[in-house]
Amino acid sequence: MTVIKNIQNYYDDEDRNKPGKMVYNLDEEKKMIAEATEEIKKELWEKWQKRYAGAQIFPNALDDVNPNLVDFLLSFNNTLFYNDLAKKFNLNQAQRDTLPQIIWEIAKSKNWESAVSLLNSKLNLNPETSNQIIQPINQNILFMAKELSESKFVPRNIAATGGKKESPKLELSLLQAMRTYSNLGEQVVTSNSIHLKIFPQPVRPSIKNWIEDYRSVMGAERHGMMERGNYLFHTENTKRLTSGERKKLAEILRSLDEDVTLKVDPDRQEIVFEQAEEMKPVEKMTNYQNNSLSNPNVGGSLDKKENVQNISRLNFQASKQQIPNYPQSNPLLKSDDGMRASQNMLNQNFQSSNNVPDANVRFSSPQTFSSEKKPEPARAPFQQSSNYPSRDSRVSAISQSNRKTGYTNPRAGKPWEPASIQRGELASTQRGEPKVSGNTVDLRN
Amino acid sequence: MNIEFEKELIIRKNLKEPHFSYLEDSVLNRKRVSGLVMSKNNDEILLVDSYGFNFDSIFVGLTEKHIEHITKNAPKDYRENILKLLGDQEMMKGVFEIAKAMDGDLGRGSTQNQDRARNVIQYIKDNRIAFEF
Repeated sequence: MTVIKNIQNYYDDEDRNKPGKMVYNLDEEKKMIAEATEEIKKELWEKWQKRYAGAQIFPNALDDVNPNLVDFLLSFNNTLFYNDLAKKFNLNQAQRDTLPQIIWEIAKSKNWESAVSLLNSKLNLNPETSNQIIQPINQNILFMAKELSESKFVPRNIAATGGKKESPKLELSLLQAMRTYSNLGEQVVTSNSIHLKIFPQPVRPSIKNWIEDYRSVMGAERHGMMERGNYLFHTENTKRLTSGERKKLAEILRSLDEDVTLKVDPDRQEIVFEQAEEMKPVEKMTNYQNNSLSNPNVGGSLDKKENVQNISRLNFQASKQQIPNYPQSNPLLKSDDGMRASQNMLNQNFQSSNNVPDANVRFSSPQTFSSEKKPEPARAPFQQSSNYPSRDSRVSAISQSNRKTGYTNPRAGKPWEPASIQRGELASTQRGEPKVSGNTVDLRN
Repeated sequence: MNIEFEKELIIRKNLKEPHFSYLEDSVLNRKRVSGLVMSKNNDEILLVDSYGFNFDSIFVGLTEKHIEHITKNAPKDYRENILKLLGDQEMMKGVFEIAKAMDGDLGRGSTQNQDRARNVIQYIKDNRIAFEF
């Protein structure tokens, strides 16, 4: 009881949280570690899947065997079954080890009638014992194996999915999806980086950042189809979008404004854009157009006619986009959108009180593409800290830290020069510094 | 991530390279590695670097479910390393040394871990066809 009292006193102590008092919350610590473990697990799992995507799972010898049958024969229960059988019929270890090999041979050759003769010959058993043994083998393995062998072939792609069945897509509105899956806002929906009013550098074209841009341009309240159309075609960031990208963005914004449901992949925590998938060939073509216009070397293998067609198509799109304030001609919006938009406009007054920006929608991380990063100047060499615990982690820590800071040897790749010249080179670049040449120092500056 | 860098390293090591979790090579530490592996679920077992399956301490931690999952889902290099380990007498000696020590912790006469190791070896022998590339 005294222990409980002491603990109670500890928690009742108001000075506990004052500076100088050490507070260690074990539960909090455990929770943090569990969360971090899950996060790391997820990251490692994604890397694993990438690394082994399309990797060979089974040897070529099993190529002709139905995968369902392979799965069945690889069940651990079969090993236990062979053990029992060996005990029951007094088989020695060599005979017991041969049993599964016979089964595999039958499964590969699909010669289901050969079991007894193989048992006779390979296990050196008399026909009577073979007939006794074959009964439980037939019941527990061969009948099922035959059935599976004749069943419909289901191609396996376990390396890509890690043996997990694909879970069904969910239908959620954008805000619901973002509340449910915290990573969903980071999904990149377009290819080029975008500029936000509140951030000086270009940012990732993620869902969160697009919403931020949409709200900063159009206001935080809900918008109708016409306003959305204006945004989708006439702002600095949306002007450069391809039609496929614009369609994706239109879907997102429509869900944001009208709570229309989107298909969400719960495993990947991503929105599935079906229409965008259909648009892929066009998207590819427009990307090619962009490349071919900016870089004459790209797509050089294609014939000139095709280039001309592509460019004319691009001009056509551009001329369409230049039409100001006629979003009705927007081919991306469905015909019933007009009705919904007018309803929205009527309802806007009623909705406006509820249109406080969602607290869960936060500005996306300022992570930038590698191409967006400014070249970092070389930094001072890494200095090892003394408070790392073990040799192993020290080594990892150094390499990790160097990787994180992007440390590179500032003189790497340059030919060797005497130190004096290097110093002189440095001195001449700094104004007001004494000039060093050979053994003399010029202090006149 | 809200945890310190050192803790993150330990978590990563336990998930990916549990065989390097303890630098000192004693039966006690190898037993700890085996316990850590045993506590993993099927997905986590695949996160262990394939090179780890060359180590007796990892092998002893494999359960019947783990080996079935590995055989059905793991790529070639995992299986190749397991087969290599089975052919290494020194490692196999280590496997039973660790399993025996684990049984010792369970109480007098327990052979639970040794039986499990034997079963796992038997399973690999039975399904050698799925291990040989």
